[in-house]
Amino acid sequence: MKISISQDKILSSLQSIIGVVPTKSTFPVLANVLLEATKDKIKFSATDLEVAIVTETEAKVTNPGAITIPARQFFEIIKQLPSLPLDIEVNENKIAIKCDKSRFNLIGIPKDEFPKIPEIKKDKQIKLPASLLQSAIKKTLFAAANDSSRPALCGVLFQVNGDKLRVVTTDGRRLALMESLISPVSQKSELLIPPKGLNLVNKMIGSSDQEIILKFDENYSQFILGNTQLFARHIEGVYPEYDKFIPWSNDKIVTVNTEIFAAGVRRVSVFSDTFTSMIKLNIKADSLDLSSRTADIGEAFESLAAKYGGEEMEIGYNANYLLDIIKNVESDELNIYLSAPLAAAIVRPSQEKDDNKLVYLIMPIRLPE
Amino acid sequence: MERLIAHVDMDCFYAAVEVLDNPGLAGRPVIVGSDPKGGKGRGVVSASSYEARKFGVHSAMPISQAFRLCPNGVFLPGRMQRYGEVSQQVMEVLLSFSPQMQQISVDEAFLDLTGCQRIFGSAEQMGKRIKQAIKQQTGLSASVGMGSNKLIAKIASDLKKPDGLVIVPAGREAEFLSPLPLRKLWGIGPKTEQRIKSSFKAETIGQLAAIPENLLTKELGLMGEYLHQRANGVDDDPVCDGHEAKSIGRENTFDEDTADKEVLLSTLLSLCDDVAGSLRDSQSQGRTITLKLRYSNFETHTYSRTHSKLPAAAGEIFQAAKRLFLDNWRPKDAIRLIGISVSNFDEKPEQMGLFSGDGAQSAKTENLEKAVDRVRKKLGKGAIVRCGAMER
Repeated sequence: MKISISQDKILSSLQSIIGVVPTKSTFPVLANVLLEATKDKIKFSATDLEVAIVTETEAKVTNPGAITIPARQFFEIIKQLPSLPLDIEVNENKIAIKCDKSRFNLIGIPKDEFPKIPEIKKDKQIKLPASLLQSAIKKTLFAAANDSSRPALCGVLFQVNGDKLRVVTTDGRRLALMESLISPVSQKSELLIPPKGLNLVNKMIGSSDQEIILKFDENYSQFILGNTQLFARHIEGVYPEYDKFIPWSNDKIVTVNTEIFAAGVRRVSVFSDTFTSMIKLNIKADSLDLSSRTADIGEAFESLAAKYGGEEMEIGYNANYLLDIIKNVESDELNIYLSAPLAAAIVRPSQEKDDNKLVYLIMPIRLPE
Repeated sequence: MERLIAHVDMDCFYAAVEVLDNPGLAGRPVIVGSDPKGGKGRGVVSASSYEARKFGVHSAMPISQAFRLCPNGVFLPGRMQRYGEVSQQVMEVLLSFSPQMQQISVDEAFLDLTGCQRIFGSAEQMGKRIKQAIKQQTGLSASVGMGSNKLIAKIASDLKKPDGLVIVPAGREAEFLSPLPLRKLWGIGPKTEQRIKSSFKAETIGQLAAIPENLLTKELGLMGEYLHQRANGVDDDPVCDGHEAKSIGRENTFDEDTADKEVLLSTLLSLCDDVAGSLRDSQSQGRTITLKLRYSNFETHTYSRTHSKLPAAAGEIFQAAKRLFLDNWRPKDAIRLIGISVSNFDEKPEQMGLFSGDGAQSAKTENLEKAVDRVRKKLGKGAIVRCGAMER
């Protein structure tokens, strides 16, 4: 194998795949990136067996061939080189990289040992603006569980139904749901995608405003953006029927300024209960009082202006859960839909952006007597 | 289904561990406790071997008295860490019999063995196996009591010490308790004993059991109802592993009895500081503060006050304790021991779950049940069944 390629191109290709290379693995070959040279392009692949990224770039190929190269060292070398053309030559498993006056030799592992990159056989797909997918991921990912004893809840649920895509996460204490309009598809589908894959999709999108294609079958989802593709293996397991738990009929509505609410929660959370991060919300006609207390340390109180017409209520919430939600609300005001102090509350922006529907659910903390 | 509860009580645990680690002590009167200082020591006996008990030495006795009774005894300071290690081994053995274990102290525990007969055999066989397993694992002997509830098991384990095994068959609880003295029942201290004796002329648990509940309740209030049930061998208290402390306290025995108010108050302050620290560690707050005073003549008094607001900081606990102290102490009498404890804990905030139950526990249960389902799918329905559901 012998190729010539510019430093910029190879660096940008490596940057888009390096994130998937595991730092530790029982399979040495997973620490390598697979290079495949054909005609006038090179394909780069990396995988941790759960997520795989493949990207292609143009190059001058003198001799086609394939080899896997230690990814981190390769990336480090390319990063340090000047922006000049470089030559890569492979003999058996010895790789020589030449650029200007620098020369590096690396030992590779043959291509055969590299795991096969998945193929999506059935051609189910949806198309959506990359920026929309990115915002759906950003606004929901935080509520996914981080507890390996509940694998299904660690995933991000994509529900495709007609012209709607729902992205849902929940750890059993809060839930995030974003519903977006897409070009209609005929069949209903549910995909449970690992967060790592979606974090990498986010990076892959960067600031792109192109369309992204999502292809999928039972086992894998494939995100295609330009000449880069990401494969994510679906998490096995049954996702709870979350819809049944969303209290759509909550009718006691508090409206509060988003920024003021965030700042108040942040201040009061200084004295939140160390065990549950609890702060107390006292909701009255036209005011929302926040308070917290830590034994022996101190207490905090803050009264915020709010619109509310229901009966007075005192509710405990985990301050961090509240902040996670408030951070993702882009409208000036947000609404909290309540029914009773010990029941789930819904938090939504008071004005939706575009055609998206953003819904958060938060479970309260039972206040001590 | 009839419950089967075992109470396992290690025989003179501290002393037995000392003999285990130093076989040369075998057969000699071993007394673990504070330094007797040639009869002038001021602490108490933590544990004594059976040989020492023959001299009349028993735990909680002043060490100076023990020294007078048994001047040739082997007095040892006690190695709590080592006892803790051995205790852990014992508890691990017990857990291999049933996951439902409630450790009461370093050397005793309850085990709920309900439904385990199919695995370990009859109650008697189980009791023997538990004793044997403890002996094999640690080299120590334990006394085991078994019955249909914790009360019966606990009293039974105490009857044939050391190395005893007493099983009370279901239905014979009241009969078993009947001849025993009142003080064997939980909740009957010297004062309650006196009241029962003077009001009802009852000397044994059987006589107490025969007193109509309404008369007992009239005399003793709620306690009457409780005692009526216990005396009749009824106790529904579950064996719970999630044992939480009901009070947090500290006490101090002075090297020399003192009536110096400053010394007493500064000691009280440092005890309060300690208690406040433990409260913070366990994220608890309590409303009731109890002061304990023991005078030179061993006369001991406790004074409690329950507050409507939580005294949180050490300073607040001290203020409350100080008030109790100043209201109650007798300035002319020297004090031997002063203690403070906080109880009546406040509920902790609890994060609610979205999907009924929630919490790590329900996730665990769910996983367990899923695993059971998989086993059944693979090996058939009868491959795995709940112990209690097995046909006898």
